Amino acid sequence: MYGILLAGAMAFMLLDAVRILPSEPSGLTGVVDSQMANSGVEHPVTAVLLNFRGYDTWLELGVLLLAVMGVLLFQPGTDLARVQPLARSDAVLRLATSLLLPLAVLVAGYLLWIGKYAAGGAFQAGVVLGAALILLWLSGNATLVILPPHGFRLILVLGFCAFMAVAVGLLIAGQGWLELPPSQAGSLILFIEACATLSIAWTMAALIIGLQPPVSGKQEGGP
Amino acid sequence: MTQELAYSMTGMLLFSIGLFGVFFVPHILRRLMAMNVMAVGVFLLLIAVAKRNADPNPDPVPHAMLLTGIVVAISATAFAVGLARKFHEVSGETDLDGEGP
Repeated sequence: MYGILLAGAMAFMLLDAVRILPSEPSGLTGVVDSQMANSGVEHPVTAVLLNFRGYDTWLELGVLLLAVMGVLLFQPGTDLARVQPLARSDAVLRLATSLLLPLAVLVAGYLLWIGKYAAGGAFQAGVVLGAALILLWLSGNATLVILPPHGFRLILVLGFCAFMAVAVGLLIAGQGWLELPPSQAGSLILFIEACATLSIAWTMAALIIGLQPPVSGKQEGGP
Repeated sequence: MTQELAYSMTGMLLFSIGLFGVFFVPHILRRLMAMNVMAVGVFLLLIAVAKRNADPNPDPVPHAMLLTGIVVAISATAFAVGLARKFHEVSGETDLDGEGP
């Protein structure tokens, strides 16, 4: 009972705090707009995400990596180096997968590319590609398995490492930490985003696959 | 009452509902869902705050923070689900009421 009272009091205070926010904020729109010419992209959200606040995005990829590592630690039987496809799959799911998969890859590529000009980018593209991977795995398709043994892990760390490689490379070239030079910013952002897309897609898939109980072992030995 | 204010207040209401769930609902999955409701409340506030100025283009910085937040929320949820499964495996419990089996 006192929980509802506490939550109600919290809600009241928060609502009041939101109510007295100034209606005309200073915001950072002006600062971002004035620096857009140096960002290498044309969409302000992408510019903030990959250039002005690249540190956030880089460490966010690190958070994703940590989450995958944590999930895999809980399931000692799951080895991403040897992903087991699900055995059962019906014809409808297989047909739907074969129709949707090329489309999903196309959409992911489009979202990655359009991030320069409009809403889109690595995270959106990665999630679409990740959904395609999960569909592929659910349909019992063995394609995921033909990846080289450590390919899965390599792709998981690719985004984080590519971002770090760019940062260190720029540091060696005499730039500041994560300070993209305006002339090459566009291509560097596209490179980082392409690597991050793959990593995010495989991370999303690994979070699902890693949460499944091990396919072989005690599961089948049970009564 | 402006549109942005309505969105902000809805967001804060959702946040409070989620906060109640996180502290006072014992079932782990419900608690996780309450955590996500809290996160959605914050996202809603960020979207509304980005649109408060008269500029037709919303402030891109809260939007970028929002994108970051969504991804962190997804991975934290997945990690928590993994923890919950392990907890259930080890203790056979689905509640976090602190009483033990």
